[in-house]
Amino acid sequence: MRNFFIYGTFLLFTITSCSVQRFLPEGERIYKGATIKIEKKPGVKYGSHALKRELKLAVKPKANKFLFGQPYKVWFWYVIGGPKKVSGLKTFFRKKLSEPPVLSSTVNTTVIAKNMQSFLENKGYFRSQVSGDTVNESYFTKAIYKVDVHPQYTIKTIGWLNDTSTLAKELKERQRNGILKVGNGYRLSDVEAERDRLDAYVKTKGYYYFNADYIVAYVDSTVGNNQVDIILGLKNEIPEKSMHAYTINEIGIFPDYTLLLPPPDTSATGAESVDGLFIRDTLHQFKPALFKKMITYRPGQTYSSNEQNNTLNRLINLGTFKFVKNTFEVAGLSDDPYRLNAFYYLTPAKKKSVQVQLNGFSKENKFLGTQLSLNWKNRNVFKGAEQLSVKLYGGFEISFADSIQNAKNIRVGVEAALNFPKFKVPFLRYKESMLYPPRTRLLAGYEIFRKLDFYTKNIYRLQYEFNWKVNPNTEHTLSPIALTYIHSGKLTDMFSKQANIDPVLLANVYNEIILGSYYSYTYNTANPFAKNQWYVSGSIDMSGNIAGLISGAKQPRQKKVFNTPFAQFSKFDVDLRYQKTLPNKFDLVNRLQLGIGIPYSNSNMLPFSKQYVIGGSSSLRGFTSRQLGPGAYQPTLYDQRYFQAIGGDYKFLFNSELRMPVFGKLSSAVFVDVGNIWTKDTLLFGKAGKLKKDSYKELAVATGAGLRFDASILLIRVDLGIPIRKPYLPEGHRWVFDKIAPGDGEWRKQNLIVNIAIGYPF
Amino acid sequence: MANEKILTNTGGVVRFVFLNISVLLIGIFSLLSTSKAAQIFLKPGSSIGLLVKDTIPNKISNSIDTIQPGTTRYTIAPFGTTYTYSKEHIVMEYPDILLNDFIIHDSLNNPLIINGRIHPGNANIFNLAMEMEAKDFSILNVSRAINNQLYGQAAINGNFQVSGTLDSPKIAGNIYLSKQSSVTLVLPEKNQDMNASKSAVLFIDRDTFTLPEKKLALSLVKATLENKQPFNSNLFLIVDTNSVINIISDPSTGDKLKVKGNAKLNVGLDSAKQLLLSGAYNLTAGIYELNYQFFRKQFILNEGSAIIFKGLPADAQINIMATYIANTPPKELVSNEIRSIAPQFAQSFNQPIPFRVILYMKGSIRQPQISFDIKMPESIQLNSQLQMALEHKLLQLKKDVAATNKQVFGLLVMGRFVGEQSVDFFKGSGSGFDNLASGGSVSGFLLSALDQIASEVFKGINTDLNLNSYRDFAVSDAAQGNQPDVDLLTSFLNNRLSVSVGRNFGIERQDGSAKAAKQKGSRFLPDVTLNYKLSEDGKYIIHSYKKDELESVLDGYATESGLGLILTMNYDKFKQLFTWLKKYNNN
Repeated sequence: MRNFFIYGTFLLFTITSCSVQRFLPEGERIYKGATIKIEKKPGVKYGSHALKRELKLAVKPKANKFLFGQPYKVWFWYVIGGPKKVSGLKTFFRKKLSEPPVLSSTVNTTVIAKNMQSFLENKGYFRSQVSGDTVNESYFTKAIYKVDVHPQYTIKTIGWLNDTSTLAKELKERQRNGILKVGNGYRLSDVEAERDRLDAYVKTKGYYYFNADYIVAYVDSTVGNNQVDIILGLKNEIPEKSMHAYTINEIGIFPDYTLLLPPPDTSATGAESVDGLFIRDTLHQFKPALFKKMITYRPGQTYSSNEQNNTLNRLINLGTFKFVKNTFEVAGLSDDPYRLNAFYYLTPAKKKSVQVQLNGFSKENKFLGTQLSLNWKNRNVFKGAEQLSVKLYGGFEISFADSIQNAKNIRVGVEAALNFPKFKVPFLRYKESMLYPPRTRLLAGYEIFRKLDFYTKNIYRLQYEFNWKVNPNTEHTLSPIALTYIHSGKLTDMFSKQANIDPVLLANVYNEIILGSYYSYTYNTANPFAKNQWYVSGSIDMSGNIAGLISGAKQPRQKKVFNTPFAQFSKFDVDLRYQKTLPNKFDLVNRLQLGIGIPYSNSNMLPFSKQYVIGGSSSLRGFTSRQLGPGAYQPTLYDQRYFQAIGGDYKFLFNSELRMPVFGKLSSAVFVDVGNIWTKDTLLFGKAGKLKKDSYKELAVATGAGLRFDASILLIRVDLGIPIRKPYLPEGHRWVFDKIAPGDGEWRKQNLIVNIAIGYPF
Repeated sequence: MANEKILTNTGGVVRFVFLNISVLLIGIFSLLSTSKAAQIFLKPGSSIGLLVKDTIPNKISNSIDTIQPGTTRYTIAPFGTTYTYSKEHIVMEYPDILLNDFIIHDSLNNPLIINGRIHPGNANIFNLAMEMEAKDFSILNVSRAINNQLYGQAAINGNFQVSGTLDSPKIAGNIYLSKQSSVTLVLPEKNQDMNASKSAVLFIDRDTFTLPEKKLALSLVKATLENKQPFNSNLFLIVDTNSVINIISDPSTGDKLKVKGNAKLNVGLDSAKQLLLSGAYNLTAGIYELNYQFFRKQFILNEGSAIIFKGLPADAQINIMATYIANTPPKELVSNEIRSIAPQFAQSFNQPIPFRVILYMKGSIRQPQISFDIKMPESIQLNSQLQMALEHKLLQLKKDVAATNKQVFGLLVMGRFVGEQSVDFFKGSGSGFDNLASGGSVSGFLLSALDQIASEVFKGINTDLNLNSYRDFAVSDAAQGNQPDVDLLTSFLNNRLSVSVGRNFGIERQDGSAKAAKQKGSRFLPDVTLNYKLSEDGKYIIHSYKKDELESVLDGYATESGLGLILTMNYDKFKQLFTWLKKYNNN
C-alpha cells in the first residue's frame, strides 16, 4: 500500500513537475534544510559528528519532507486545499498526507548562528565563530552554517569575592570539593550544577529563602593560554532575607484539613500542644504521638531542607493522608525576624477501602492462571496510621506443558496483615528520623492448596517483620519470626498408589514446619541515569536453628514441634546485577545469582518452597522450567509430573544480555545464560544431581535473541533461546554446537525455546 | 556671483525643504514603528536627500518663477511605499518658495496635498507656513520577510499644519490612521542560550572590570520608569477601531498580540529626529494568540487594556488583560484537598465549568511581565460545596504564584487542571514555577514551564535521593536550544500512571524515582507494579506486575507476571458503599 502510494506520488510529480512552485507566494521559496560545516582549530577535542549532532538541535525551523527532491507533502497541502469543515474527509486527508510549506521567509540564519555560537560558548569553546547564510537553488532555499571551532578553555583558578557574611563563608567552604575544579574544561552547565549544589547545601543550614540564582560566577577569559579564572560571589541583588539562616518558631498541624471549610486558624492558641507541636485535630482522629514520630524537627532548631523533605516524605508514606500540604511562613516576630512557622495541612484519605482484584498471570513454571481477591483495608486502626488489611482470595491455574499433563491447581486463602509505621517492638522505644517511616508488619495467613489429581495442602503462616530504609536506595527487611506450617492431606488414590510403588514421592506431602527468620538487604544505584548501574541483594534465611539446638536433632525428620517435624537449614542468597550504558543507547546487562542452601540435622533437603529452580523465561532461557538439573541429572517426564518442583539446594546462574534499540518502542537483545542447580543429598535425583567438586562441568549454557515491545504499562518480551550446553549429556558431549540443525523439525521442537513474558528478565 | 549665490541658495533651500518634508512624512510613517530602521532613516544626512535630487531647479528668475520638475517616483525602502509626483509646480517667489496644491501620490494614487510657503529668514533660518492634507495616503506597504520588523499596510487621512522653522518645525493637526490599516510589529527575538548563561555567569576582564568589593545587603530596587517630557507638539495621530495592529511578541514561536482600539497620540520628533509618541492606545478588542509547537490558543482581550506611549515607541508600556476560557471539571483542582464530597454534589464536581484564565502583560512592550490568575466564571450557579471549595482553592492559588502557574500550564497544554501533589512541597521542587515570566510571552512561559517540569522530573528524584547531579540534563537540554517535547513531558505529569517497587513500600504512593527510572529505561526494578488509573478517581485501575518473590509458599520460587483489573471503593462509613452501588444501579 505504502509503496503504491510513493510510486503514485512519484508519478504525479513527473506529470506535474515543479508544481509546488506555482502555489508559492511571490518571492518565497521552500526551505530545504540546513547544512553544518565544521572547521576545527588545532587542539579541539570535540568530535565533529557529536558536535554536528548537538548543533543540529539548534537548527530551526524543521524543513518539509522531501521525496525525490520534491516536498511532496507540501504539494498535497496546496492540492487538497483548505477544507471548509473542521471535520470531514478533506480535513482528514490534509492532516494525514500533507504539511504546510516551510517558507524561506521564516528562516532566520542570523539568530540560529547566534544560538549555535552561544551553545559553543556555553561549553567553553570561546572565540568560536558561527555564520549562517542561505543559498537559493530553483525554488528552494538551503541554510548553510559555517562553524569555526576554537579549543575549549580550561579553568585556571577558582576564587571567591571578598565577603565576610556567614553565608558567603559557608558557600566558600562548601565549594572546595565541588563540581568546578581547576584544570577542568569550562562549562556553563558545571557552573549551574555547582550553584545548585551549593544552594541545596545552604538550604540544610537554615537559608530557607536562598536561591541558586543569587550566586554569580565572574569569568575572566582574558588571562590567556585558553584558560579562564572563575570568581564566585553573591549577587548584589540578593534580597536581605535570603542572606540569613532561619530558625523554626512554631510547627502547626491540621490533620483534618478540607477546602469545604474556611482555612483553619493558624495561631497556636487553642490548639493542642504536644512536644512543641501545635495540633488542631478537631475530629480527634489521630494520636498526637503519631505526629511526634513523623515530624523530625522541632521549634528552636535551625531550618533544614533535609528535615522538611524527610518529614514530608514520612507523612506522604503513611498512606493515611491523601494530600499533604506543607508551607513555611515568616513568623514576623519583632525581636527575631529570622524565624519560620511551619504548617502541615493534611487531608485524610477515606478511612477504609474495599477492593476487588482480578488478575491473569503466567508463572515461570509454565502455569497460567487467574486469581480473584477481595481486599479490605482500614488505614487508621488505632489512630496512629496503622493499616489493617484482610484479603480473601481464590485462584485457579493450569499448565499446558506436556510434561505435567494439564496439571491444575486450585488455591483459596485468607490473609490478615497489620502494618505499623514504626518499629513496633514490645518494651522498646526507638527514635529515628529516616526518610521513610520504618514499617512493622504482623501477618497471619491460611491457604488451602489443591493440586488436582494429587493432594491437598493446608498452609498456615505467621510473620513478624520489620522493613526500613536508611538511604533511599537501600532497603532492609528483618523478619525475626517467619513460621510456616504445612499440613498435607486428601491424597488421591492415584497418587497414593504411585507413592506405594515409589515412596520417595511422599517427600511431596511431608508435613513440615518452618521455624524461620529472615534478613535481606537490597542496594540500588541511586542515580537512575548513571552509566553504571548496580543492584545488589543479599539474604539470609534460617530455620530451626534454635529448635535443633534444644532438641538435639541428628536424623532427618527426627524431632518435632507441635507433632510436626521442623525444617532445619540455613540459606544464603546473592543477586548481583550490573548494567552498563554503551553508546548509541545500547545497554549491557548482567546478572549473577548465587544460592546456597544448607539443610542439616533435622532436614536432608530444603523445603520445596525454599528450593532453587532453574530454567524459564527469566532464568536460563534455553531450557524451560523443570527441564534442567539438578547437576547432570535429566528430569524425566515422570519427575516433572510428580514433583512439585525440580529443585536443588544450590544454584548458580549468570546472565548477560546486550539490549539494543530497534525503533520506536521496539528493542532487541542477544543473550547468554549459564547456570545450574545441585542438591546436597541424593534423595530425590540420585548421584547425578549432587554437588561435587567438579560440578562446574555441569553448567548448562544457552544463548539466543529476543524482541521487546514497551507499551508503557506493559513490556512484552519474546526471547528465543537455544541450549548450547546440556549438562545431562555424557561428559565430553555436552557442548551441542555441532547438533544445531534449524532445518530439522525435531531439533526445533526440542531446542527452540520461545519465552514469552512480561517485563525484562532482570 | 550674486545670482549664482541666490541660485545655489535657493536650490539648496528647495532641496532642504524637500528633505524636511520627507523627514516629516517619514516621521508620520514611523508613527507605528519602533524599528531601528526607521530611526536610522530619520537621521540627517541619510539618503533622503537623494530622493529629491532631481527636483533641484536648474533655472531661476529674479522674482517669480515656476519650477516644474518632471515625473518623479521614489520609494522609501523600509516602508515599501512608492510615491510619485508629476508636473507639480513649485513657485519661486523670491525670497519665498510657494507650494500650491503640490500633490504627491502613493502607489494607489491616493494624494497628499501640500499648500504653503517657505520664507527664508536670517542666517539660513527658514520659516515654514504650510498645510498638508492626506487622503488614504499610504505610509506603509511591506510584506512579511526575515528581518522585517515592521510590515503590513497603513494609510493616513487628515490635515496638519507645519509652522516654525525648518530646523525645528512645529506641526499641528490630526492624522487619522485609515480604515483597513493593518500593521505588524515584530519584537526582537530573544536569544535563549545567551539569556540562560547571563544569570549564572558574567564575563569580565579584570583589567577593566573591578570586582565588587563587599556586597551590600539590599532589597531589590524597583526600576523606576523614567518619565520623559519629550516634546512640544500639537500633532496627533488618531487611531480608531478599524485599524488592526499586530505585535509579534515572540518571533521564535510566533506569539502574537492582535489589537484594535482608540487612540489619540501626540506625535513629535526629538532632537535626534527620532519619532516620539505620547498618549494611551485604549484597546477595545483583540486577541493574544499563543503559538507553541502545535498549540494554538487565543486569549480574548479584556476591556481596559491599553498601550501607553511615553516617548520612543519601543519604550511603550503595555497593560493588557486577556482571558482564555478553559472549560474543564473542577474536580482535579480541589479533590485531593477534600476528604469526601457529599454524594448529592459529587456529580457537579465532574461537570465542566468555564474557568477564566486571565493573562496579565505589564511593563515594557519589549519585555513584558507576564502573570496569570484563574477565576471562576462570572455568572454561574454552583452548589454550596463546590462554590465553597472553589472559592477557597482559588484564593489559595492567588497567594501562590508557583501553583497558579502550574495550573495555567495544565489548562493551556492539557486542557485540564493538574492535581496538586504532596511531593510538590519538597524543598527544591516547584521553586522554579514562581518565576516563569522571564520569556515575555506566553509561549516563553510554556517553554520555561516545560523546562521546569523537565528539571522537576529529575529534581523529584533529587529530593527523593538527596542528590544534586540530575539538573545537568535539563540544563544541557536548554543550552542546546532544544525545546522540550510537550508530549514527553506531559506524560510525566500524567498522574494516571504510577509505578511502585517492592512489596513493602508500594503503599498507595507514586514512586517518583521508579517512574523516572522506568521512563529512562533503567531497569533494575524487581517486584515492579505499574498502575494505570482507568478512571480519574482511581476507582478502576489496570495494573501489570512482576513478582520475583514467592507470595504463595508452594511450588517453589517462580517469577509471576500478570495483568489485572482492580476495582477500589473507599469509604468512611459502611453505608457509603451502598450509595455508590445504588448510584451505579440507577445509571
